[in-house]
Amino acid sequence: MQIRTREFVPRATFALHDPNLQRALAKAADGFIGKRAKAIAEVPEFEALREAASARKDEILSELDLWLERFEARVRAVGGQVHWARDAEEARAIVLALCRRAGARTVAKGKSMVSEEIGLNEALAADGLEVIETDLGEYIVQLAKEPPSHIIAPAVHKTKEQVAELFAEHHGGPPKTTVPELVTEARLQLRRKFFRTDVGITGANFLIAETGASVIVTNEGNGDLTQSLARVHIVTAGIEKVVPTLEDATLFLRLLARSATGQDSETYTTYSMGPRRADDPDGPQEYHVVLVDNGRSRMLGGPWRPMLRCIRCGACMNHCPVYGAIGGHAYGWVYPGPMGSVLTPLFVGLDTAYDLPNACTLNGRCGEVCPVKIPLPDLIREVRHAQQRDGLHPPAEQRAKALWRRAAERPALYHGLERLAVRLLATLGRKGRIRRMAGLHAWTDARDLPAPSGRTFLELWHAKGRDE
Amino acid sequence: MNEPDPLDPTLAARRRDTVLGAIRRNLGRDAAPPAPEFPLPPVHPRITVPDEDLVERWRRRWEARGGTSALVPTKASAVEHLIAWCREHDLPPPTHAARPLLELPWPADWPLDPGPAGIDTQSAVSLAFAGIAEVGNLAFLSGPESPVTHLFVPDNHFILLDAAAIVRHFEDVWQRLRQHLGTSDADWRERLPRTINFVAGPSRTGDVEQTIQLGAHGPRRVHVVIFSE
Ligand code: SF4
Repeated sequence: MQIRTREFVPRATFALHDPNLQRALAKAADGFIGKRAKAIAEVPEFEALREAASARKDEILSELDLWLERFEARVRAVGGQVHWARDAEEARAIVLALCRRAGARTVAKGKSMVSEEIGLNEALAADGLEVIETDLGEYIVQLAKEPPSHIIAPAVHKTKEQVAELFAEHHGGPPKTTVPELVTEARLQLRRKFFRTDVGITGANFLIAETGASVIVTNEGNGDLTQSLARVHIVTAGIEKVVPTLEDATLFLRLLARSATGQDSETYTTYSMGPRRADDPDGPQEYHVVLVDNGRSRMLGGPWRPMLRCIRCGACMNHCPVYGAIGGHAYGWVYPGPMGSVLTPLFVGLDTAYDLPNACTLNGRCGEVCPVKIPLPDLIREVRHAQQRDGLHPPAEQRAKALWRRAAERPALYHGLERLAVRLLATLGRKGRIRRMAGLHAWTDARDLPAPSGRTFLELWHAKGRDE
Repeated sequence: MNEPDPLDPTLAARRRDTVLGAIRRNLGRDAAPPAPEFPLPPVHPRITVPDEDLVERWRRRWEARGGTSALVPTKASAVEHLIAWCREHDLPPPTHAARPLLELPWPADWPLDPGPAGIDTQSAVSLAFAGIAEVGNLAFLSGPESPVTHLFVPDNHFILLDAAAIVRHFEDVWQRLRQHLGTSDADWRERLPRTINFVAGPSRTGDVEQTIQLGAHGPRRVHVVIFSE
């Protein structure tokens, strides 16, 4: 996927003024937050599950090499193959070679964030393969020639009317008006494609060392048709996805569905272990797992390790006010929202993704909802520190900070300036709010600035001391 | 010059060593620690399932997800129930079934095929390996007797479930699986099916404006017949 993180500011500005997007986002945020809250209220053990999951994941990560080796051995034992890819380019080359070897012409895909990360679709299409996204949301954005804007709801930025127009354009016929009609239309279109697929590519929510299984969860059943009807099943997964046992997968699955869609489980949870057995009447003849590093091993060392606990549930972005205002596309790459503000700079570069962590308001909601207790606000701050250490902050900001520092080192001057500022700002306020302010339009267009009372904290404090 | 083949075993081994090496370096150690035998399944927190009737709880959860269910006295009586159900709901009779179900007293005009489902398959009958009361899921094992396509291709899916196979938690399924597959002289993992499938009601999607719609790619209607022998 093309990296457009440098366009964050113009894209965010554009998003704020796109009425369709704003409508879609408002609807989505309400739905996601409410459903999750309801699902969690039913489970008094939720906090205990979070604790256990976060501790377990740390344990696994500290022995990651061991679990990956065991996973590989079990995949071989069930008749499959594991391929290791150091980076995106290698991962693409491996998948492409597997498709060529199978003489494939059509590739069906279940939803996979790693395949977005490694830019798989473009590479397959460039090789002349027909690539069909089968998750309804992914199918919609594929038709629209857009990247997904949310990790679990790829087409969350589209309204029903936009989907109807898109379908009419690609499938013919008049635009449909209801959701059931749209879903049925996609079902019929994709049904025929599933049955002529050569290779089925899925992601993996988990890999299980004990059995060599890759686990996918879906609500539509598309990932299952993808892998059951193809001749070759290829799984693309990050190396951090491995867990030791079936019981471990269960622990994380209890958190995943509730955090992602507010359901107590998704409709389909599938453990796939190898190709079809000798007497099986259906299923793929080959099973491959492509383990993708692409910078993950580096994250194991240093402060970023907790980020590898992420189970890609999307709760952090659903609760993020910045994501809620600008949507996923503004972030300019595969991973949006809070998790993306940490991951994207680490994957594509602290400078290339400079704006992402700096757009954060550090309100802390993401960290509070993360099912594996990733300290997202701390990590976002850590990314900013790293950017500062590398001297990446823009010159204007550096000059402003230097100026501020010089003032702050002279208390008398600082307090004098402060007294001046609060008095000035107080005159701009109407009923305690500042609705417009020169030089800060971008900010005040969207919300009011609370007006100060006209006296500084220190003045008030001293006054209070005198009174008592 | 030809491009190197990414599937070449020497190259593949080098890539593997690099990735594992990078992991170890970043974890701050030289080689993998000696591998002990597979640890016992860890014990993690579970979701409390009150000590109520598990069948009752399973049905409540299942139906909350848009599935339907019925209780019948015996496995054989499931046939009569399904005949009536299909008539009542105007559904096409099943054309495919899991092999172990072929021995049931099906009507003569319901010829059932134990082979995989095809693009025109409208309706199939399967046998569940377990039901999970915790959340109203069903578990299936794929195999020569139970094609996995039966679960996902038909519009209508009928499932027979033994009341005694309804367990409390997912962990109970794993324990059953280990017992079911293991033999006195072989590890259970030698006999793993290609897939273990958990199903919770009809296929659904929320991808258009978060509006839940049933029947995305998999079955639109899933009806479970619970029997006790
Ligand atoms: S960071 Fe946490 S909340 Fe965000 S997607 Fe990952 S697991 Fe979910």
